[in-house]
Amino acid sequence: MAGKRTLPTPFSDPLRFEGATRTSTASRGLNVARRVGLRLLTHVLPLMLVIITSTFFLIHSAPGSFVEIMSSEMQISDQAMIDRLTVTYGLDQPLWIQWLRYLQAIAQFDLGFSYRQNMPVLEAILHHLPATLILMVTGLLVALISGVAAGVLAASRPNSTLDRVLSLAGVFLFAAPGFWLGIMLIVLFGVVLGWLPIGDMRTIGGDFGFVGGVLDVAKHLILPAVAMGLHQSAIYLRVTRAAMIEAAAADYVKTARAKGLSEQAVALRHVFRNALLPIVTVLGLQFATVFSGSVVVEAVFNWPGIGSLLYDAVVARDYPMVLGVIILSALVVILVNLVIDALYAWLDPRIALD
Amino acid sequence: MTLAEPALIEARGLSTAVRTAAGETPIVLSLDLSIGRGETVAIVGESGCGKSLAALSMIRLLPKGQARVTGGEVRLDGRDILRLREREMNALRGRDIALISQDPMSALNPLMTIGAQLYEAISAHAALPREALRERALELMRLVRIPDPETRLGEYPHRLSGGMCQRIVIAMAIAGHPRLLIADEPTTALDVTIQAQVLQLLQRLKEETGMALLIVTHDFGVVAEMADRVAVMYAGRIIEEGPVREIFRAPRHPYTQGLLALTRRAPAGERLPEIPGVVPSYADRPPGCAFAGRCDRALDICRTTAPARRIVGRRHEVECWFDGEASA
Amino acid sequence: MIDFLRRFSQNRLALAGLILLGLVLLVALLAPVISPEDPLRIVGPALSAPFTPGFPLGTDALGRDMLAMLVHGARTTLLIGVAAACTAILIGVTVGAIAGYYGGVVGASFTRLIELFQTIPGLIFLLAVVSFVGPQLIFVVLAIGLISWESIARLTRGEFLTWRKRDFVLAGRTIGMGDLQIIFGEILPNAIGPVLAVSTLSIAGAILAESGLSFLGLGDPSVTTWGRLIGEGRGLIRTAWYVCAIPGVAIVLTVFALSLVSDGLNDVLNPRRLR
Repeated sequence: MAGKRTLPTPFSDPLRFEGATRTSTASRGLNVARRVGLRLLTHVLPLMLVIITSTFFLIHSAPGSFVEIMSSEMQISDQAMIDRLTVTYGLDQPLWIQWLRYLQAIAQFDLGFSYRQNMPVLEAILHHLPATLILMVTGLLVALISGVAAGVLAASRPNSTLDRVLSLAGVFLFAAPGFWLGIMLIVLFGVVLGWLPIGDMRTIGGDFGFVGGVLDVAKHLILPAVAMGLHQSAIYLRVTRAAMIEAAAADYVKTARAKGLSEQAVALRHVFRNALLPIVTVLGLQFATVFSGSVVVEAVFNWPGIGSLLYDAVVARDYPMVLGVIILSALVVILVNLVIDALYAWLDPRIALD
Repeated sequence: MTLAEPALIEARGLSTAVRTAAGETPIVLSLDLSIGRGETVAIVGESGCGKSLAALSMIRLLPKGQARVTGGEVRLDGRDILRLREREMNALRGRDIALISQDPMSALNPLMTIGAQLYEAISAHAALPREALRERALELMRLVRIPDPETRLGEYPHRLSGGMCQRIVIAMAIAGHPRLLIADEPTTALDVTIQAQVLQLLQRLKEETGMALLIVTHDFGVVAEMADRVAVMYAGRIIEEGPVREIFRAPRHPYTQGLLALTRRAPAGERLPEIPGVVPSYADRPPGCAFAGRCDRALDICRTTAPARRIVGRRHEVECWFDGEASA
Repeated sequence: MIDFLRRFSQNRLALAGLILLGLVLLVALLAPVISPEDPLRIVGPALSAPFTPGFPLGTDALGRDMLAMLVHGARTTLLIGVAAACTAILIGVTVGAIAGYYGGVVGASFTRLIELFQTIPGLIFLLAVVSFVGPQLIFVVLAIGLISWESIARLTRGEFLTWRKRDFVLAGRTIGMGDLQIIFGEILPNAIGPVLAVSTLSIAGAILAESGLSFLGLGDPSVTTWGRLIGEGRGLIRTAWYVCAIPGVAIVLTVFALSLVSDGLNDVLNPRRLR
């Protein structure tokens, strides 16, 4: 051994300055829960407060008295009903009292009364919500599965012909509005081929028992879910591709390869797991868009969900219903984001400890 | 080490290129390097000289799609590993050749516990039951002097300091009892005091396991501390190679002389001050010696004809027209 | 600038997008030349198939010329898209700049404002606004602008967060430049690339949002847009599906072209994006 010279080591204990703070993994679940609780207070409540307040001012900024417009639109001449409206919206009170009462009513889940549906707004929304959720969740699954799969495939050989074709197809799908895709799918699979129903959620007058009923709904679900999902999938393709390429270039992937792990183990445990983080982030950012998409797609397929309810309400100027749908859809988006945030914290140990 | 003993690993005419928008740019140009069993060899040079790419080629871990080996061979036990299938190469990584890379903080997967990543390294080449896996992981952690290893198993990398992460990376690298450990700038990202500790650790592990070490560094301090033999790289070529003591005592190439002179002036651990001038890009390279443009002793021939490799001492070779032995 | 054009034109997809976009613009500009008469007048037999002599794209259920409606629809659709996007850019850049430039309560509350608009489903908000204030074109444009600025603001905020700590900004502050001067003179020029790219994309988003609204029949009834043509053709899917298909293809091509141009701008103007 030649030319050895010992570098000075001022510390007798070689580990003295390398200390690491300690936490056990067991507390991670607790951290996630605490984070969710905290976000509930710092994000969910203030956001809902602002949204509700905004809708309140939207009502009051509408030209003319809210009740006047509504009663004339509804052709309500019944004074008792007008009085009830006036009291519900507290129009005889000063503005800030009206605002407080509005908040109070909503805190008690009183979203007002829909004349068009002739039932409380909340009841009508809850009645239509399941159909929308089924459609949204299925559409989202279509988007995620096809988008992520295509993204992984495209990222496996960046700048290859396959990558270019997939990426271009993604841009194309993004350019196609969901409702138009829906109509084209109806024309192809409903009208020309006759394979699938062209609208509605159930076969009218059909009685297939429970299993048959589920299958019937599933059959009606395919086209709207695909129409919604394909447009959205373009976004997941893009983010997956970018995230996979970025993660594949990371140092820890080099380390994993250096261990002699198989290609699949590296791709799954190291690349994909890290690429999931931005995908989950985009899922949260995009969720409001999914809601928007479902409104038009529901209209195309005559799907009996929130979208159809809202459309009816807008056409009939059923203001309590319009406001109720805004508040409730915002609430759903916020709650979904809360879940996604928890999921993110669960996936990424660096976050949960902040 | 005698010349008769066959080398553990031997690169011949190894060339790599980097893919750019304009096409491929050659980075490593027909490099020859051999490492004997248990030997420590250092490749030293400025950033961008191709030393990292050369080292990564020897474990075939060049960044995918960005760089590739364009020629030559790398023989391990007489077998050209550049011709192996990816599956055969995987069987060899970690078991015959292991790697520790530059930045320990990003070399560990942030989403997996230290334990899971260690288990992965161990079970890549040996099917062990869960309990044995744990025992082996703890043993490895003690070997690299991780305090309180039981607790560390369940922790995530971001809880650990850089030096601690590097120890984990080293533990994973030696899990498969490799015969060659490639260390790509193993201490560059660490604090000066931690650098010394990690180097001591590598030195000790090397002595205990008898593995060979290939250290890529820009720091002659590390070279002096660790290496038996040193290869000085400039613009993709090894321009001088020899036993460490020999190179320190009598560097032949003006570039080596310049580097050493600068190192001696710079405080220990500081980043290398630069020799005036810039490394020519491949396209601007003169037909002769690549260093000619920065060399204050360059002759006419240096600019027109590339110097051949000459033997100037015992295992000491240099690529330079300049013949005088100058004191650095 | 020359360098910018050269690099942009090297990206073949972006160039194709630009050419396609140019063609759409040309059609929109030349609409009065291509079809000088009122596009909504009845000119022939109802539901003539495309490639009928005199009606290259056929006629709709009322016997109106599809080609005439399509080229006139291009004008309104593009106009609404660009106007709404301009509104969105104005709001988005302002809010994003404030959220990113100022720390403390101001920055935090503007960041929260961005989050708020990210939470409300755009189309639902759009429908609500239209139902409250009416579907006049100006309200539609403003409302689409109001639901489209969030992504621009998010990006602008991110850019400002990275730039505000840079030396030249700190230097500007020490020599006594005002906040406005720093925001518009120092930071914005550096952040303009990515902002421009996402702004181009926001035109595409606005066109999509408007087409959704018109498709539902809730847009301004006095103008013909592509979305409305699809909505009106919806009842004809069994007999004349092309009435729906053709304006949809126009939307797809336009949004497609805008996306490609936006990608191209991002590649060229965003120095951090590696290829």
